[in-house]
Amino acid sequence: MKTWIILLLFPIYLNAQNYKSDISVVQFSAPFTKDSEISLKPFKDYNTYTFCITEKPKFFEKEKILFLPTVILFYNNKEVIRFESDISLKLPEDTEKVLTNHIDKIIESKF
Amino acid sequence: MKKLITLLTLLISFNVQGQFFKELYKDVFKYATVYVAGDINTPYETQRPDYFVRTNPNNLYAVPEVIDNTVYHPYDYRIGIGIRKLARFDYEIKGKHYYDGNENTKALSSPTAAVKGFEYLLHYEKERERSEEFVNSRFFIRHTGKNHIVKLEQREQGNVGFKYQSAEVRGRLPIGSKVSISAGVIARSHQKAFGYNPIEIWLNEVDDQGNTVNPWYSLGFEYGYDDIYYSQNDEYGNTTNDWYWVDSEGIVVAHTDVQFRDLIFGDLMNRYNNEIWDQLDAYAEVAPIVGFDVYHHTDKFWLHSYANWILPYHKYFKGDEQYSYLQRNGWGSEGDGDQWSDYQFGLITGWKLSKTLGIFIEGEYTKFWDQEIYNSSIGLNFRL
Repeated sequence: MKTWIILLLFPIYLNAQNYKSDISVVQFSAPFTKDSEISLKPFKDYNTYTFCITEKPKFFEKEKILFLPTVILFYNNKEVIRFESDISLKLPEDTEKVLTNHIDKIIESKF
Repeated sequence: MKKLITLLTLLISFNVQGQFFKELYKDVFKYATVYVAGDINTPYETQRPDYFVRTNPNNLYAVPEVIDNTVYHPYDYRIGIGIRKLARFDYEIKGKHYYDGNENTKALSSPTAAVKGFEYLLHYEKERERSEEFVNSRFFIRHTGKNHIVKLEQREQGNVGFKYQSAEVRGRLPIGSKVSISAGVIARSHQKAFGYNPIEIWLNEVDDQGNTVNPWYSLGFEYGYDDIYYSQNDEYGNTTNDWYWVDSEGIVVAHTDVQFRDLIFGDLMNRYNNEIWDQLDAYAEVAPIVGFDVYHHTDKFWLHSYANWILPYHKYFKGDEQYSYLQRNGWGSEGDGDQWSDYQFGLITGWKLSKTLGIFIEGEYTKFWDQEIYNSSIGLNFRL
């Protein structure tokens, strides 16, 4: 019985805090930076998350988020690249392009 | 004005077509590798050569001629051509700098893929091994989406006479990003009438009184042999009774029933089976399938487990159903038959316990019809 419980709980354990698993594009934002967020739709084939500082402050602390919005690309729990907004709360213009290039490189390495 | 409209239409058309081909390239061909590869290897050779002595029939005591009777095979080779777009899971390491068609990747057996979208392998090769030439091929196409898996596969392995085709469609439900379950339907074909042994059925047939309908020796008669009774007495008064056997041309092939069983009967059994099997068309059946996939990867620990269960609701739609696997407990009969489950599961896990110590386990088990295929390996690495 114990074994079955462990087996059933194992996927739940694996899924815990999985926002960094595989290829994940994570946007850290706040209600007042909504207009400055980028659309994550172009990355719908991968894991995408948008966290709001009022809802998940722990994630912001854990990832040492200093600027809002911030977009981080994770691959297998490791940070690949981070895009931080500037003083005008705008993300770099080429964020989507650079993100795509990095994801392309990761995908290419699998073939 | 007309010209302008035509020009605009053409421009739009080219633009749409260009966009279409761009998307097609991105979805289907990007990251694909076309390869032509081959290898040549030293052929199998016996450890020690075989010799025989050729005797001069006119002079048995002349110096004999020693003849080398060893079978020398020409070199083994394999030449293949293919195109592949199969993503490796993170725990899989590309073994070589190039692809040659010999790769065995988990993408071909696990229900889901390392990447979403199209994956395929179209491979055709010709090989020679121990002087025998074979053709092997594998065609595999899969499209994995967030909520679906569509897979087509055809495989032919010439040296073992294996031919298999399958097509499956599944709905997929991801549970988080590491677990997914799937359910759908699979159609599969098989060349062999699995478990069907015609000679066994023929020899074991009995009448209402429990007497054998087809005594073993009647198989000899079926193939033109005949047995002739004889009785002889030797000078000491011993009497020998037996049957000697002749072929269709009257040539003696065995001096006793026992000798006939030893020398001829085995081949006749195989011949009978092959003739019956050759009369049967390939089979194809359809059944529901469910599966799951768990995939977790970090640098220090990875786990990939998967399972497919083909449920016991098989329905044959091609081939003689009387001799299908459904009727394996009563060949030749009609009716619903006896259902069965087919399944496949695999586990790949590795744990780097420290910088120097790691443990790795890999295994896969497949049971399709009455065929079992399994492989497993375990490793403990300690770096000094």
